[in-house]
Parts: sequence; C-alpha cells; structure tokens
Amino acid sequence: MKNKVSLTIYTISHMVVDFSCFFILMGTFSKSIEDLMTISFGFFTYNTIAFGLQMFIGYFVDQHAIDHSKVALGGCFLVCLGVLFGFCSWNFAPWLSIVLCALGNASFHIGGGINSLVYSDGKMARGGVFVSSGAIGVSLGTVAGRSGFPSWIVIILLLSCLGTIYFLCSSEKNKIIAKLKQINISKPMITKVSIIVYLCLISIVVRSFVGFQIPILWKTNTFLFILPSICAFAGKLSGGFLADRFGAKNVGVTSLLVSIPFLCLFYNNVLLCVVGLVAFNITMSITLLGVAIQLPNQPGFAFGLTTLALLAGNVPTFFFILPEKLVSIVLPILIIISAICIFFAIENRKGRGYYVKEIHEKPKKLSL
Amino acid sequence: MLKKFMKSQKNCLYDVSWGPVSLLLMGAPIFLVVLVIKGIILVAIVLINKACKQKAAIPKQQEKQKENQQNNNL
Repeated sequence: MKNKVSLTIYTISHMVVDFSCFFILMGTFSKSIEDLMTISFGFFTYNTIAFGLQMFIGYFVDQHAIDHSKVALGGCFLVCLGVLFGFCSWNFAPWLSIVLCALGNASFHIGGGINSLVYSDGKMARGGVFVSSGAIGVSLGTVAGRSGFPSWIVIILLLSCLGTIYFLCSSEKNKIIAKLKQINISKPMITKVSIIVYLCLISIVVRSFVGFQIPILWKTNTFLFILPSICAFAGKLSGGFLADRFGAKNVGVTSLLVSIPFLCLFYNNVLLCVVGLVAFNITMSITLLGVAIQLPNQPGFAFGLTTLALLAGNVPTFFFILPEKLVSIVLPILIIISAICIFFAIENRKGRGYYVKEIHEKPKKLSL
Repeated sequence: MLKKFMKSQKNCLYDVSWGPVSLLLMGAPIFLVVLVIKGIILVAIVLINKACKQKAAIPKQQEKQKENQQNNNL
C-alpha cells in the first residue's frame, strides 16, 4: 500500500475528530440542555450538517482542486473551535459548538476521504482503513462525554492532529483517482455509470437504516456499549482487505447474506450478534470505492455522496423504530436488496484489487 | 407517559439519537430540516447525473496536476 504515513495520520485523526465531536454532543451539549426533545433535535441537526454537507464540500473541493490536507486541516481547526466554545457559558454556545463540530467533521472527512481514494491504487483496503477508526472514536467520545473527561486533553489531541497533518501530509497533492485500466477477467453486469452509482448508494442507505434498526438491547455496561462499535470497526477494516483478496462481489454479497440470520434472528445473543455486525459492515469499503471509481475526477464528491446516503438511511430512525415482531421480516428483505445491488454493481477482481493497472503494454510496431 | 418513556431512555445506556425519540412532536424545525435533506438529495441526483457525463478531468485539476509534476521533476 502506497503513502502509508498519510493513511496512518488521517486514520488516527479521524478517530480523534469523531471522538471530539461526540465528546461535545454527549458531554457539553447534552448536559447543558435539559429537554430531551431539544437534545434529539441537536443530534438531528448535527447529523444533517455533518453528513449532508459533505457532498457540497467535496464538490467544491474537486472543482477548485484544493489540496486534501488543507481541507482536513480546516476541519480539525473548526472542531477545535467547537470544543473551545463548549467552555463558554453563553446560552447559544452549545448550539454554536455542535454546528462548528459538525462543519469541521464534514470538512475533515472530505480531506481524509480524498487522500484515501486518490492513493487507493484501485484497491479497497485503504478506504476501509481510513473510515473504520471513526466507529471507535464515536463510542469512546460518547463514553468520555458522559463520564466528564477533561476537555483540555481533547484540545491537545486535536492540535497534535493539526500539526502532524500539516507537517507530514501537505506534500501529497494528488487530486484525481489514477487512471486504471481494466483487465477483462469478467465483464460487469451493468455498464452504465449512473446506475452503478445509484445501486451502490441504495446499498449504503440500506446499511445505514438496518444498522440503526437492529434492536441491540444487551448494551448494559460500558464494554458492551462499545462492543458494536468495535464490530463496525473490525468489519470495515477487514472488508477492504478481504475484497482485494477474494473479489469484491464475492465478499460483499456473501458477507451480507451471512449476516442475515445473525442480525435478524439471534440479535439477543451477544456473541452471535457480534458476528453478524462484523459481517454486515464488511461492505462499507466495497461500496465506497464502487462509487468513487465511477467518478475518478471527483473523489471528494464521491465520498460526500456515500455520507449523504448514510444520512438518508439514518433520518427515518429518528421518527420510528421497527417493532420487534417485524425485525425478522423487514430487515432480511432489506439486506437481500442490498446484496442484489452489490451483485449487479460491483465487479470481481480477485487478488488484484477492484481495477488493476495494465502492466503489459502491447509492443509498438517499428516502421522502417 | 411520553416524558416517563423519555426518562427511561435517558437512564439506560441507549443512545439518545438512536432511540425512538418522538421528533415529530418538535413540529416546524424538524419539518424544515427534513425539507432541507430532501432538497440536498434532489441536488445530489442532479450532480450525480452531471458528474457521470463528465469524463475529462476538471480544468483546475489538470493545471494543478501539471504544476505538481513540474515541481516533482525539478
């Protein structure tokens, strides 16, 4: 894997940024507002800004060819400001704080996302590694916010990320996903670009919706509360590597089908549910590169589209939750739909990444 | 009854944002945010169709890519 230093820095920074945002949401914001419905509205607003605006930020960054490090630095800085506003005692400070955190989170994701896509070299592992650390950051941030973790440590962590990104990632300036030619091992089932993008996005919407609807009622202590996030982390991290090794379509479809019984029938059993959650999250890196490879000149926009799909799947969960009787009927149907989308949209490139560079060029004929 | 339910949600470790919080009761602000999300999705559909048709790199990207290559060569 190329450019490992920047990947490592962005992955750790991703965890720190998500940690800081949830530290503010669960700590400063939730504690300063008593009304539960207002808190919920705050979460809803945060999600809308953080996930909904990434597409616009990504589009702007692509159109103006802005360096990914600058975007990520801006994001880190905004989150830092958001945490600082958490100290203020003004009435509107908590709201300003979450808006700044959400904007910073959105910008950082686009910066890191572009880096993870443009240096992916046609493989899915890089995207999976970058995105995976966010899940751990979210759950640790939630625990830290509720337990009164000192804010100055959060600010020091964010400043360290700012420094390392500035000094170690600014030299990487690629903006386009490298042109990679296909080797015709198998032809794709669908060739129209927009249809492939929509199918991948539908799969992401379903993943987001189902992920929030699984009735995980066993989160009764701190470790069990963090456990689903660890599963999400493990699934996203391993998904890219597995897809590169065994073929994206094989891994994507199989993992989704395997997750059905574990998530829809055995969700009350901790161990079986854990297996299901890992398998269910494997498709993340597959759908991310599935969208991005279709829009090679617009990696920021492509990354933003995937987060918009996450938001679209998340919004309904704010309004209703599936009754337990329906879980075992509705969720399998949705997961099968997601598997069908991946089956038609994604190609198999066993052992060689999703798209591979054409190494053997035809020898040119010499004219005498 | 709703307040009791909300309190029970807060007391357990269940995430506030994930639970069946009755945001519908919030009325107008929520309605507005949902409208905004719908608007964003509509814009996304337009931009996706535009992006799928665009095959060449964006001019500014090409310029900067050339600059980078020249800097690397130097």
